[in-house]
Amino acid sequence: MSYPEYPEKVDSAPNLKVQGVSVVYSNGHQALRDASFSLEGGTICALVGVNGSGKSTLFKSIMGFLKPTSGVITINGLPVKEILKQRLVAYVPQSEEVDWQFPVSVWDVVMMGRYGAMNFLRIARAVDRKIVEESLKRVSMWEYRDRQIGELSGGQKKRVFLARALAQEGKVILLDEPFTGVDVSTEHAIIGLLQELKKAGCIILVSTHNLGSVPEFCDQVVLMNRTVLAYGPTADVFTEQNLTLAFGGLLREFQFEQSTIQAHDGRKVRVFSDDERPLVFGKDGHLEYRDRSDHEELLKQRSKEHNE
Amino acid sequence: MSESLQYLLNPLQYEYMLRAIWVSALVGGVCGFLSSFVTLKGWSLMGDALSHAVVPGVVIAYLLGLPFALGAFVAAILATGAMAFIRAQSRIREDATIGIVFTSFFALGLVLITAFPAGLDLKVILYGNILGIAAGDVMQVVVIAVVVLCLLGLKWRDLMLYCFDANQARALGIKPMVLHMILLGSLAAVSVAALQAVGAILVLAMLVTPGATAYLLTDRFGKMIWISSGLGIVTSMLGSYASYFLNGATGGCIVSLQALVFLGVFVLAPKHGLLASRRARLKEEIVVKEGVS
Amino acid sequence: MNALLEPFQYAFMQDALLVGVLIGAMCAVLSCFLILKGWSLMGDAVSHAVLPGIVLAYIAGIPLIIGAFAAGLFCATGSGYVKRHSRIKEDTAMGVVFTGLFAFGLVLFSKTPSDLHLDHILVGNILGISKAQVLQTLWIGSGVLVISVLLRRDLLLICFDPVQARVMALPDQFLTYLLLGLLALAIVVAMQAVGIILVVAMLITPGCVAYLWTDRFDRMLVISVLSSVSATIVGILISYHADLSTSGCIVLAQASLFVLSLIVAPKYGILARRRN
Repeated sequence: MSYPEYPEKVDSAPNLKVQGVSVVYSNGHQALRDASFSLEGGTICALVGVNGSGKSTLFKSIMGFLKPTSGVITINGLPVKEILKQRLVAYVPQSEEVDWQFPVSVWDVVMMGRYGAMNFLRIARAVDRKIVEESLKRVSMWEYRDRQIGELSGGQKKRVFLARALAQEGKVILLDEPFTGVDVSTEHAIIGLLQELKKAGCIILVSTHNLGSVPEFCDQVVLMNRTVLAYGPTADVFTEQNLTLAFGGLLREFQFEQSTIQAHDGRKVRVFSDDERPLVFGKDGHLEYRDRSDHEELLKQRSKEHNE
Repeated sequence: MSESLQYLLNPLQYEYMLRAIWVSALVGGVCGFLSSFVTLKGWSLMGDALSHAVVPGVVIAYLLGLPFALGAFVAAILATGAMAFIRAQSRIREDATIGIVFTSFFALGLVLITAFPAGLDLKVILYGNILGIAAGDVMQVVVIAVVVLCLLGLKWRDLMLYCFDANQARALGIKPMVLHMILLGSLAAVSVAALQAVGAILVLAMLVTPGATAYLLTDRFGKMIWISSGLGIVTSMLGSYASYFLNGATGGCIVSLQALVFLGVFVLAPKHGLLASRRARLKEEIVVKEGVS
Repeated sequence: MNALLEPFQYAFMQDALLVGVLIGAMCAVLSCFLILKGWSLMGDAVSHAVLPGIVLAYIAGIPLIIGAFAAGLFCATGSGYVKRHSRIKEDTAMGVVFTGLFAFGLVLFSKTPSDLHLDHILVGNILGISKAQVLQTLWIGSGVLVISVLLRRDLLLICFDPVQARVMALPDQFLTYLLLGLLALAIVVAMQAVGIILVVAMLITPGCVAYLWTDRFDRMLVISVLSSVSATIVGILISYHADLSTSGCIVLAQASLFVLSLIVAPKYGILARRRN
């Protein structure tokens, strides 16, 4: 799969700042306490934590559904309300949240990404149609534009909503669990697309359970457990020590008789998982994969990219 | 002083008032009992649907000289069957399916009433007729109440498990289908009884409000049943008593009373009330501020 | 054929037909949004809750329609408030609130000497509709119809993905309340024709019929309106000739169309599914 070059439209690289954000729900439950981190444009950042660690609360705060009890969220110094007005935030929903029986076509859904830029009757102009067409072609879904959304495969469904985010031309793209129910080739295609958006200067924030894939495509990580435990480059943050802090009870130890792990290490690894792709640490916090060679390459490449 | 007391005791001289009070108390109690399950199972719409869907059955039973309850029961079974069929055979959402079926049944009832003007009075269906209830109908209500109370009383633990976690019930070897049918059957039977007391439209309140009120007051299901049944009995007695002074709008009085009790509990309940959760929130916010500073 | 259409030479039947067609079309358009948003129970709740509004407006001497509208909105926002501020589920909250309001309306009505006909409010009286009501229905009905068709894209987005509306800074809450307001207005108007209890059928069934026939929203709107309007006309005619409850006949005609669609609709009908 190949993608045409993303048009360089970013006037100034966005920067996302979350400063001391706390959220208390009306029933008294505190979902976030004093969370802080900041991201510069041109990054794919994973949001990692157990269920209830405040990932979706953070997303909701960035999208303006929740008003933090204290603290502020800004992009380029603008408050959330202003961010949304300028349509800087695009959102790709979790597949389970979408009613796939809904009577809309692929084209209709992607066109919804343009509503913010249209007049109040939402009548598409030539420019809107052109952008929708480009977006669909970029995710290789142009041929499917007249399909009802329920008739697509899991990966295609995902790509439709990614196309909608593209059509919206947001600078900060939020993805909620993008890889659940998606086959490996689509996962790679989506990652390829995200890489491009990253090159174009976007901030891509991915909330995921898929710990194993994080080092493969994310150059930064925000580690959460009802606050931000740590954030920064994947190599620094995504360590066994930090993950133990974040996942505590979910930590399991397994022993393998046959593996690439050396006998003198006691054939012992540490596995982090609450999903189909576990994260496996060997000796000295070294990342372990079933087929090491490919992944070694990938990881090297990612850390090189990040240092550039 | 004694004059106003006399005024207040006035309704109790009449036999029909006394009968209305104890019959509605019975209905209110059974409905209250059942409402705990309805609230937990999220079957509010189902309660509304069944109370409307029984109407054509009642009309036909009346025309054929059969007991109300029988006709109502058959209509309820047909309606639930139709809902299940449409759900299985189409992509229409459950709530819309229920809406279509119960309105169609009610419309059929309406058409039947107008087709046989000598039959049942529309007013009885719409507002109930507890003040003028016939002896035979009282018997039916009593039989329904006793049967439903026995069923629920014997099976309430199983039913609670079913409402809470149907899969667990299955795993324990309890047949969910049987429990489902018991609950639906009770709902249908009680709907007919309540129809006589408060009319088709307000049956839903009898089946939901006491349970919802009790749900705000306790975290134990056993207690919840006692509270909701008690609420059903007390509000129904007071409501039918008060309706003596209000031109016989018995259903309106009972349900208004239940709504008022709910409102009070909604605001004041010790743990799940509006004020209590506001206090909890404030407390958390203070903690947050302290934590930040 | 002439004998069948003969009733339309009477002025009252012409009025009934006009009002019926307009109400049918208006409810049909809204029903598409309603069933997609999962608001069927909302339609039921709001329609019952208008009763105290009508009685209070009568007592206060203001147009009944204003009272009804206010009470309908109060029910919707009130049950939303109960749901947000307690652990009661949404459908239960609606059930408690709307029956409470309806009961209050009944009590109020029984204490108010009036020339209102409760039966007409509950089961409608389209054949006896007054000239003033006809005019009122025409104005409000066409208003609701025009607004909901013009803003259909925004309203559809609110039903499909409110989050997307929010991140594009569209007035998502305003649009939700707009849909609610249109629903309340439609109920208030349609109530005169089919009554409180059966309004909800007008607001659910046509949308479901159309949903069985198509996968595209604009087509769904057209099919919904066609089925609703034809069912209304047929219902009115049958009720006239057979001397049966008009609202009952209209709703049964709607239901027949639904059953028909359930069986023969291409792709989503039972026969089509069997073939696959």
